Amino acid sequence: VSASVDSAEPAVAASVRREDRRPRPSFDAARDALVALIGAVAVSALLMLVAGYDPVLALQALFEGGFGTSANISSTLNLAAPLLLSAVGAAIAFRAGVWNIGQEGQIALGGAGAAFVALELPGFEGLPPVLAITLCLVAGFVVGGLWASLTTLARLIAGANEVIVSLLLAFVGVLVTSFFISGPLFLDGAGFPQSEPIPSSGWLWTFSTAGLLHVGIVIGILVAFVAWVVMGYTRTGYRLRVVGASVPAASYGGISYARQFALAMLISGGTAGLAGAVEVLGSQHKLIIGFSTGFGFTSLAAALLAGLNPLACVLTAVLFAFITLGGVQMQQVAEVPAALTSVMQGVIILFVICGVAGGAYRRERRAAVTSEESA
Amino acid sequence: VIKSADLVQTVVLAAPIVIAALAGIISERAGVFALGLEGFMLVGCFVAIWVGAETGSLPLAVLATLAAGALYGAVLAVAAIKFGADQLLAGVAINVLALGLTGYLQTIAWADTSAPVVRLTERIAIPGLSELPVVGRALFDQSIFVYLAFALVIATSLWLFRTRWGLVVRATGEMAASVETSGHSVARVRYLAVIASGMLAALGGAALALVQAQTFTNNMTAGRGFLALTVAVFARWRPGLALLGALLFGAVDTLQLRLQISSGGGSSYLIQTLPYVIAVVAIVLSGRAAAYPASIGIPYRRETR
Repeated sequence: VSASVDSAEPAVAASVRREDRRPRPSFDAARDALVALIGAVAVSALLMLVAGYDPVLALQALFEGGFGTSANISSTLNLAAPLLLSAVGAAIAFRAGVWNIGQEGQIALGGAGAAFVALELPGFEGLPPVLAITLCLVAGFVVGGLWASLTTLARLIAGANEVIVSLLLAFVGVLVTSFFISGPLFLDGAGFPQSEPIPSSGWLWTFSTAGLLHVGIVIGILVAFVAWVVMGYTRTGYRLRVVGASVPAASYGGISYARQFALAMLISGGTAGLAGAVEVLGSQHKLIIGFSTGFGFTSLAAALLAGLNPLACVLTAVLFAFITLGGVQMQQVAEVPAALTSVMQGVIILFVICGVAGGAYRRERRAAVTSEESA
Repeated sequence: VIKSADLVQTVVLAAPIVIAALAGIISERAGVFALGLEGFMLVGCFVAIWVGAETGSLPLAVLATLAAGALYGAVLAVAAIKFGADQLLAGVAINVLALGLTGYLQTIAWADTSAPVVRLTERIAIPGLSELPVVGRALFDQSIFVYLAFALVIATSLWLFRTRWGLVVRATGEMAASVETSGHSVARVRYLAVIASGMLAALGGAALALVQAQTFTNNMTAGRGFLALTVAVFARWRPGLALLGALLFGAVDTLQLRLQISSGGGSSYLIQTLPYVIAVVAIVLSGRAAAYPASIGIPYRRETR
């Protein structure tokens, strides 16, 4: 074990300082989140006013689109499911100080993996749904996790910066998925590159006879709960958090940085892949080009807004699903470009990370002043 | 078979990447991660085409691009320097925000139609040199942006390694406390570096939009900012090497475009992965040898030193 610590040491040294100031969840997290949301709404309203739109009408349409009807609520929860799964993985990785930001590609490939099993496995149509769905979900997790593990290899063997590598691999992952859709899995005669529909034995169960709301959100909440327990109350979670807090401390305590890095990357890539699988099995029922565009970065925003708390990710994932779908309605009704929802996401991330860093700094200074006074 | 047209294309495609890579070099040399290059470039693309289409003037389009880049760079600078926010995540935010802002403004500027074609740059042949065999046309019969890219490489290199100010910037990235001891403000150096980085990267975006695409499309940078960042790291933050790296990516991109035309169907997606795969290989190869500036990513707080 100690050998692996030593061999990872040079690569670790540079990253130690970074981990020291990663965002730490705290009681301030809820306040930071609130400030971020208000900031995002304010910036959006300002942009709308400048362009001559009516912000009140737009926000009404946004709310209507996200939560207005039971069908809209179903769509929001269905979209929240993959965002939640990917966000939980990101929260775990970030807490461990592992900067996986390649979810975009991991989600796409995870979805492709699930669809591949459903379409290519002989006799899939005849399988009992429990088995069929489980197989597909596992395939999604494995493909996403393995893809993310390429970044682990680059990091631990070559000492490459995982941020750039995971980002670059995201582009590759999305393009490879598009290749599968328009090549090996291409449905002839379709107007838009897409695969054949997957057999109904692989479809996620739905709640009502109308068949809109599927169990993806339940899977997401279960995974979030498990993640919360593991991170907070198990030895595995403890090791991940220690590595995230201080690599030298972890190494002093006999915790292998390399192993924790690999684990965090595998989990976050795996949950991102699972997210893609849930989207394909639950909502799309086929692979279609660009089916998960933007999911990765939205899930990052959700994880950060949740203060990296897996349970809080449930709320933030629903919120971002609501904003995304509401944005579509906003464009239709108030003619405000839906791209405004990306602006909101960017502003929210900026506010949260500034709030976290500013708060940590204030506490640090307060502590310094107090210790000086007592001395 | 290497055709003269391919060499010309290689240089055209390399110009935006090398300009953006210089932006990354300046920012990271001063100790601030440059993950926001992608967003800066995209903003530059949009503003250059928007102002170019509205005014029909190249100088105005370039000035507006520089101003927008400075403004947008200042947003990252405030987050990273004033608030001490995580620079990598701040970069992610800058990129997401740029995608949203340009998408929003694009719809406002051109409603439901796509952006107009803007032709403001022409090739300028340098008499004599452009007739040189093999490289003549590629190097000396190009648009103003290509010549600008070459000039900026030389200027940045001289500035970083031959001037006092360049030394201060490099020291800020390597050992921030020592800069403060010598009477300079780390915060001020970093503000200026990040703002300059925003301006340069936006200029790179303008080169991409005005020379190569001659129009604006949603998310048109498509990862070129990240490729530029890769070039900066691979070049170990040296402008001259960055030019070579950018030319390599220009060549890969040219090859990729050529292969795409000759192949049909789904495999074109695989061909498109080429630049990113090469970028990953480049990062892995440079690996540990590419030592980041020692003070990178650490917010400087006077009181806590």
